Amino acid sequence: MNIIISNSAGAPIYEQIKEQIKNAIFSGELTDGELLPSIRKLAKDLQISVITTMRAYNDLEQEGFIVNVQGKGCYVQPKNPELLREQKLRDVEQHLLNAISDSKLAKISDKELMDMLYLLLNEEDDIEEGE
Amino acid sequence: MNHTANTPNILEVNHLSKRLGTFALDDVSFALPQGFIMGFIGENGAGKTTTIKLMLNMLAKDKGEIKIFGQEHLQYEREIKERIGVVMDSPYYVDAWTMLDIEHAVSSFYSKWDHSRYMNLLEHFSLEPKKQLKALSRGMKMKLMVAVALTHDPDLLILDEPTSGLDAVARNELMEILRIFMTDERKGVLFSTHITSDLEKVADYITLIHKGRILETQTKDELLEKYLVVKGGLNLLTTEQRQMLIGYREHSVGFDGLIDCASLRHLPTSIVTEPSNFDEIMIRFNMGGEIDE
Amino acid sequence: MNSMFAFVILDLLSLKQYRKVFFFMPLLAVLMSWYMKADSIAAILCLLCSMIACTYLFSIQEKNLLDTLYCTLSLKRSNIVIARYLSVFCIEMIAYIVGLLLITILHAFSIGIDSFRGDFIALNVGLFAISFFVSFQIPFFFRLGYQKAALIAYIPFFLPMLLISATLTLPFDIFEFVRGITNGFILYGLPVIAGIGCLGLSCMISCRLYRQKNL
Repeated sequence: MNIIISNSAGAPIYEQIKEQIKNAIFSGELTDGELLPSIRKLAKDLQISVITTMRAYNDLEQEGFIVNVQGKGCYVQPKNPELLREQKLRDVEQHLLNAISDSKLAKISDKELMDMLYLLLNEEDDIEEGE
Repeated sequence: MNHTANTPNILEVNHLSKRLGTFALDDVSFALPQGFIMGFIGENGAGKTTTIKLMLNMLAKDKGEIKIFGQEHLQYEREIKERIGVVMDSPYYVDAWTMLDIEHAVSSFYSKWDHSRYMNLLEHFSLEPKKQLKALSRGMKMKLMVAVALTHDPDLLILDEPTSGLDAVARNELMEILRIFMTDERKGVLFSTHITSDLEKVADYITLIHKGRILETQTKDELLEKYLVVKGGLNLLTTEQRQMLIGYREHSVGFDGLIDCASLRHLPTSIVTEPSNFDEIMIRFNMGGEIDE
Repeated sequence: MNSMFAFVILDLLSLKQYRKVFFFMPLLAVLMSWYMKADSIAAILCLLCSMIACTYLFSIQEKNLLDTLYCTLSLKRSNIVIARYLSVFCIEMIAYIVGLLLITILHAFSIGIDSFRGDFIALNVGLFAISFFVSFQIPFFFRLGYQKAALIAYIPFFLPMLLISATLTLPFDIFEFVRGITNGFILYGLPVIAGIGCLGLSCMISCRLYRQKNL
């Protein structure tokens, strides 16, 4: 698994770590029951504070993605499809809300926004078909 | 999985006060939990070295208590000093000594001194054991101090401005050493410096000291989230609002300053905000920002 | 106790850069004795050398910021002081033994005009004198640091110089008086014991002073 954080990206570092671990779980790169790098090793490798990695792992455990076994480390929880879908739905909703709020600021009309969405979806389909 | 909830404090300072001529440390309190690195920042003369000297009993405190490994630092002075490694900005050994002489001089004081570990560390830092201390460059002197400090397997490392006068490469090497040291969760590091960029990557907790008083002591992330740099045009703020800013600076085409996030809502929404960094925080507090008690 | 002996080793190691000087002192002592035809000179020189070595301990301590080193080691302040006095005593003993060896060797070659007994008295009285001077100096060194104390600490030297220049016969009178004592214990043992007594008293004062010092 690779984790690449950016100091200049908008999101706080612990969020970036969470995102990338979640994506790795979704994509299957991290398998059920796999052992994650220890909190301290991760902090050392990424050259960040241990508290940041702790926070990321804490949140992931709270959200049900990983489990901490005392004395052994953090393991990936078996995938719960419902949970994953719910999580992703929430993420998409948030992204859409952001897009809506930005459009309002720039005085972009609802119709323009919808057109943009369809255009992008079609582009995605084209790319997929091309593959 | 909240690791910090029940971890003991490896270092605890409570209501420490000391008067030294015109300078005074006033009611200094902070704590470093086991397993973390604390950056101790402040401008020159803020009281960092004084605090560390008080911990090492180089100065006698007027008031307050210091506990290291949960033990009162004077009563258990001998047990504590076996377990701490100290690195200062310049070596405190006879400059005619070689690295082997240093070992002969100090190894008997530490029950956990390990000759092979010392040799390995010297080799790792590319230091020749038979070379004299005075023949070493500044960067090599720092590495030597670190080597001596690490050889007896200390549980707490105290560093007082170890990187002043060093280039970025040497500073980065020290940070890497500290990171490796901290992979053991029973250890702790207190790192005092005014080169705050060193801490941005490695510190877990930050304690900010200014004119002998503690301004902030909390996790690095919380501190950086707490303060924002704000900017705006002239006459944007009322006098009341201006007083909320720390280090308010007005110039010909606008103003800037630092604000506590909690007070942000009192300011007009058109104000521009930016994340802060340690340097910014230190500079702004030094610009004579009033501290609201 | 262990740490105090370790501290003595540390102290002796800190004199490392001057070891050549101390090595050649006995040779110089022999030369001077031969030149001046007085074996006791050798003994006195050795003792003087030890006194210089003791002051070096403090000048090196100040120059190299060794106070910081001492505070990182697992020693209480008063133990540092006691251990320093042990080092001083060690150095004096080394000088005493070397001095003794020298006067024995010189007598074997019948160089000097004085008797062995006379030289031995000079050695013991010299030891007392050195101990006395050093006992006076060290508390100043501990309290003020070497630089500031150096001037004050050398005052006791000027007193004997004044005395000697004022009354040229005084040292000889004292010497004659001392030679008149026949009791072996008083003659040989007392100066040494008195010297140790001075060091002990000085040690107690220094402990008090150093314990309160801001480093």
